[in-house]
Amino acid sequence: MNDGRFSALAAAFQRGDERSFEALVEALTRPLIAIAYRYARDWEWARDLTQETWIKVYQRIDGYNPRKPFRAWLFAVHRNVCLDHVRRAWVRLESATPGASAVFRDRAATGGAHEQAERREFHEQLLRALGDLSERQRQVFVRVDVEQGDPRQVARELEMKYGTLRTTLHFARRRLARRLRELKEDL
Amino acid sequence: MKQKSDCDVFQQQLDAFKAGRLGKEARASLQGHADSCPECAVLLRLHDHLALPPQEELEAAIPVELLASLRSRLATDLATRRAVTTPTPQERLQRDWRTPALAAAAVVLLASVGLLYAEVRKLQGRERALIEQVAEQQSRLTEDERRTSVAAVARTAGLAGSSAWQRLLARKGRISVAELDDLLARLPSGTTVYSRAEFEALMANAPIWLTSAWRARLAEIETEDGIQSEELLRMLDETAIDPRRSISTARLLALSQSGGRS
Repeated sequence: MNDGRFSALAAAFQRGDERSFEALVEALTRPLIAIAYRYARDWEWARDLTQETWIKVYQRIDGYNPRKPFRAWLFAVHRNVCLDHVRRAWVRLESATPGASAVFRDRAATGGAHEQAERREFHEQLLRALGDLSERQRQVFVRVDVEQGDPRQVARELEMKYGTLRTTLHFARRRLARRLRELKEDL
Repeated sequence: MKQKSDCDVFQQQLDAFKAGRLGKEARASLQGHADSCPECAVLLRLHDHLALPPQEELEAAIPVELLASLRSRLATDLATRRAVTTPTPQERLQRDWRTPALAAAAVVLLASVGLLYAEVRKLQGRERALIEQVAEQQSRLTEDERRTSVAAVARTAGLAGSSAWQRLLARKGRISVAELDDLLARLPSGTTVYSRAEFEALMANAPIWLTSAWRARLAEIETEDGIQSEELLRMLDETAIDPRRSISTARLLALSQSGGRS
């Protein structure tokens, strides 16, 4: 199914055709779960985030412009849901005892219990560290490093020069690395 | 300064390292720097932590039961929301269309009332025109009836139809001297308009302005056959009566009738 077909289905849903919404859910749920998994590192959590995204789409479909690609609009909504999850996570982590939070559940991780515990701890630290980035740095970092998007494509979507994106990404990584090191030393 | 430069190079080569585009030596150099630089070691771990299979592989790895549970939960969630507060897109559409539809209905209603009012005004105008026409017809009928009554008087007196002159005279209520002159001129030659007795009776009852002029002329008429149209016409011409003066035809007829009786 191509973008034009998605946009047509979304336009039909705007006119009240519920079956069009079901068709969109059927066609686009897999990529949404996969993206959410990059943020959450947990299938069930990724499913919950995807469900939240579809509910938002259901409620806010009037905000979609049928002349524009639906897929891009949907992914933007989904990204906001995932980032919001990240924000909520680091707020909870900041208020919780370090290492004691169960925000991150890496059920997909392979390896032994010790390795899984280390990964969970590192991901919690990452979520905390993301809170230290500027909005722009965070946006670039999650699009390129978390979602593993193509940097040139991300630059176009964020309406940035490619060089500016590379610089922003460089400083975002450095700042995260510094913060993660500090967090590790605090433990 | 050198350390920072190495860190910058490290980060620049990190993407190539992840993509597998670095040679064996470069990879060893990168790992060596990470071993000696704690911050770059964290950076390397971060990249390792975030590294996941490509999108297609991740999508394929999604457990089937997870997709089924999502569909089920989503359907339940949406059904609950629809039932409690959230209007469906169909309801939103209906609600969105309700206001303009009501406005359109109001406009149509107002337009209909306006058209109806205009139609009523038009009918009222027609009614007024009809009333005026009826009044005019009634007026004409009244006039006709009055004329008919004049003719009836003449007929009752046994004069109507007695001569072409009397029939013509009976059609008008009043007749001017000029019209009388014209009437007489249109009569066939030799038409008797009054018998001598009738004319004498007319003279006896006619207005003074008429009789004074005609009485002298009457004396000159010797015939016993009556007054013919030419003679009466000549009398009118010779007596030079104002042509605008008028006389009631009923009176002319009645007088002549009464004169006829006498």
